Amino acid sequence: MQQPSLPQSTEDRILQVKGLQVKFSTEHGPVTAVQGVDFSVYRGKTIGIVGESGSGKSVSALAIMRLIPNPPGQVTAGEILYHGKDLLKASNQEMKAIRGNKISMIFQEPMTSLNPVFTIGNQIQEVLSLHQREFSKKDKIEKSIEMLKLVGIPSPEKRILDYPHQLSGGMRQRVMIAMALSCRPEILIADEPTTALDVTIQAQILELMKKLQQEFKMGIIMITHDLGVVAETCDQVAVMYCGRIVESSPVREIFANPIHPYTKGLLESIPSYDSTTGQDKNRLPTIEGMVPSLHNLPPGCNFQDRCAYAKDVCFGGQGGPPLVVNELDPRRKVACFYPLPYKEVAKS
Amino acid sequence: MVSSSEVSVTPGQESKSLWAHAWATLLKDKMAIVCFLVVLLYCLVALFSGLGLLASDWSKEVCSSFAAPQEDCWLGADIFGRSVIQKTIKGTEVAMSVGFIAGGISIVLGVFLGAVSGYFGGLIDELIVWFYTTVSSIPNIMLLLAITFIMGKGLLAVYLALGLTSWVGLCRLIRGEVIKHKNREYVQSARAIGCSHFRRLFIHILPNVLHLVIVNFSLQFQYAIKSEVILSYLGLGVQGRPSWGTMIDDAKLELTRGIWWQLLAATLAMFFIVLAFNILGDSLRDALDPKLKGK
Amino acid sequence: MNKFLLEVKNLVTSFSIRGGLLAREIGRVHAVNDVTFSIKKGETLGLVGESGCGKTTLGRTILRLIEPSSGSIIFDGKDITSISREEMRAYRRKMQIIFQDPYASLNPRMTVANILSEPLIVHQLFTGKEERKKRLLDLLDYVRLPKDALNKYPHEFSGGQRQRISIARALAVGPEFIICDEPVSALDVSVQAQVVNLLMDLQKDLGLTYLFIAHDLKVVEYISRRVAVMYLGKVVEIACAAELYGSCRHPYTRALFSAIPNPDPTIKKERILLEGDIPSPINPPSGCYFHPRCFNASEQCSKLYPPVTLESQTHEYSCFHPVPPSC
Repeated sequence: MQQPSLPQSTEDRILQVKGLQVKFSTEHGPVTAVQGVDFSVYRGKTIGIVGESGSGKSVSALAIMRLIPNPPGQVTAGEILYHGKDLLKASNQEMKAIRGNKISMIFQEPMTSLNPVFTIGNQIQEVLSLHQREFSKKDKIEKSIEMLKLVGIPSPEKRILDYPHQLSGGMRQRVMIAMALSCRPEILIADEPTTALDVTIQAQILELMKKLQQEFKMGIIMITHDLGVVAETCDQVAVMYCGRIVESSPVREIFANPIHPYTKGLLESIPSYDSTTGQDKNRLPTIEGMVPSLHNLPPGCNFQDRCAYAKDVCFGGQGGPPLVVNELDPRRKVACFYPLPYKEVAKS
Repeated sequence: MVSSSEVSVTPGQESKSLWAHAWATLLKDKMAIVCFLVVLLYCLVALFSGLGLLASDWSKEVCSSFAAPQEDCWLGADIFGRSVIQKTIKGTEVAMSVGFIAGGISIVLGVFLGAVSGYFGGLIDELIVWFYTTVSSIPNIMLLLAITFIMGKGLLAVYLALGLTSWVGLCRLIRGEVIKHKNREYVQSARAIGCSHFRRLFIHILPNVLHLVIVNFSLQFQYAIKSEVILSYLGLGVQGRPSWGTMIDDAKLELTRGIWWQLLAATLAMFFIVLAFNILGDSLRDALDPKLKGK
Repeated sequence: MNKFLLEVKNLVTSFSIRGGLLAREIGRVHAVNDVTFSIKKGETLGLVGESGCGKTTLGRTILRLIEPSSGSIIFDGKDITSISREEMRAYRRKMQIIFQDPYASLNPRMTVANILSEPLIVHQLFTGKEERKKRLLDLLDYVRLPKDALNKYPHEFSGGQRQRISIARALAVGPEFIICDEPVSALDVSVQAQVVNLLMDLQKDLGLTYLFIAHDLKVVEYISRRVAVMYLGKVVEIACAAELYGSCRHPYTRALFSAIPNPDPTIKKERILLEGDIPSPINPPSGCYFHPRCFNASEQCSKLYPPVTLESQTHEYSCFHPVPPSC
């Protein structure tokens, strides 16, 4: 069988996260929120990090920006290589020069992410003041109008004088994107950027992000729990559960042939349209049980209690299954002792 | 495989109400425990003194007039030769009773009016807000003077005066909280179930707001003690028995003669209880704030 | 015997906007603007729409948690629109509601036992100690929570479990009709499926009728027999789930379906992107509210609100220029 080629040349790789481990101290003891996470971000491509609450996806993203609140959190192991340089060892000065400038982040709640007492214009100009010091005041105003136009806000010259509360949710998210992109970053981290938005607005924002990605050739880390968003926007997908990546594959492969039982369960539990009338449908297939508390993870695989396929070694004390590359397709990795059968996914 | 009915999120924990959780947090705070013991000590002193077990012969002349601290009167004597330390102990009665009773009056008024105005809104709210805005715009001292003038000097007047002038802050606080909670979904659910207004307000909303009352009480207590001192200083305080306020009032003349012991005793006695309540109040607020808990 | 458990006719719920020096009423916002529909016994009607469409207000108005401004609500043949509070209390036994936020909808200071007992106390049901205990255990059984949940507090449970407690509370008085106001939106995907299954099972076992309000079209389609689409306070289209998802006619409905990201990367559908933002209900556009964003709009649309067109016995919509059927 012909080996599919590796996804990207390493020249296109901008960020590589290796073995990331983040711990939090809580009143019930220390908790490992992120355990041994590896992934890479490539120029012009989007990697989706999917997971439910407690999976550690947001924490991983905050770790890249070194925004984990300390206390109670701490990055206890791993490397985050940005153009070969480990961000975890970078000085505060260096990180300040990177945040907002080379690596930007947008958040879920645009209302609370924007400062309510400053105008939109002020907030964009602030980003420019921090990183593009050579711009004059006039330049900054022009640039902020340009950014607002880029993100599709009508009458930007008037909008720069508005306050966040005067704009709708969709507009505010566009402003956030404008702020994040004003210094042309190489990487954009989007933490649930459309979760709080209406469906029609979400569609607009996702289209905007795709367009801007093509224009700026940015790498995007898309953190979400919505598999629909993942299917629409991502090239590579990493599924997280209880702080670990359980499966990582290109997007087509993961939807057509999920190898990890959790991924399969997630995909099946999304209600999908078919022609039988709603109310007479059968029950939705679900993943039984609940996400275990991070204080009380079982020995062996984290997913054992809910897995329909769990067997002997899954329960054992040898620790969780390691993330291994699939022999048949090196782009796919899974952390499972008994992964589901692999199927080659045809390219259309 | 575990069925979908597994309950505990935090394992091995006994079920804890938010109150129990707060109590446990408080117990871990050593400073808070120390302060609590100080408050307890003062309460016991006041109690025993009231029962006559302590400082019962405060009015006896034990030393010469204005004697310096010595064996029979450890903190010196006042103009009549009465032991300052005995007077201070006796004065604790007044301080603690004023603190609790005046505090109690202001809590009852503040909580009731705040809850009713926040919950019902509309005309009732407008009336109560008008009322407390008016009360709070009159300088406290004037109000205190007016009430004691009407009621005559004495402990009862002090209780009432202090109680009736210190409820506004709590009223505002409770009103704001009740307005916030009124629209929360658990109250909407209570309404959907068919709960009456009374039930919704007193059984559902108020327990969620009570923690503020506790914290506020520690502030009220201090205000009461300090105000009693001021009233006594103005000559409107308790008569016929020692209080820290009257001791400080006496001290203003004594200081010119270099006699400092009454001032020191009363001030120190006040200092420790007010400090203890301050620190305890902070710790209580931290322990009781539900936002600092899980979710 | 009425086959419709709930009928809503020309319902309007409006709020006044106050401004000026003496807080005079300077305008009204019609959160629910002339809505008419009916739900048969045992049926689930799904209600979808985006922010400002009025679906949540509609749900609460039906229960009279918000008072309607005009129109009528007829429950099991009886007009309950303006009955007194005492009379309404009896109806509160039959109509219940489950809210969206599993964290805000349970009183943090009450144990589960207290929470579930509240409705029983208010309506004086199962007054004997043993009887009540049994009822509480039965309720926990319905929602598949274990017995030891009774003495625990809400903060000790996960979001999905709290939602189950809310469902148990709604079931306590033995209602016939439950309004589910976004009951799964705040839950994780895998938990959503569990709660959806639970609601479907309960409907079958207890013969419940649901009004299922949500913004997630996939979930609504799954659980509902009929679906109504709202925009800015009006119902723009209502049809059986299959008809709506297979052959919707209103441009907004079409755009809504088109906007849902499909969890299937091989489908590259043509996305209809609507221009602009959802207008505020305070100042709705003239004529058809959707016309400023509509790709089919004409001059007529900005002048008149389109009347209701009957596509079939179960399918109606309000549009002058509907899209050809096929979603």
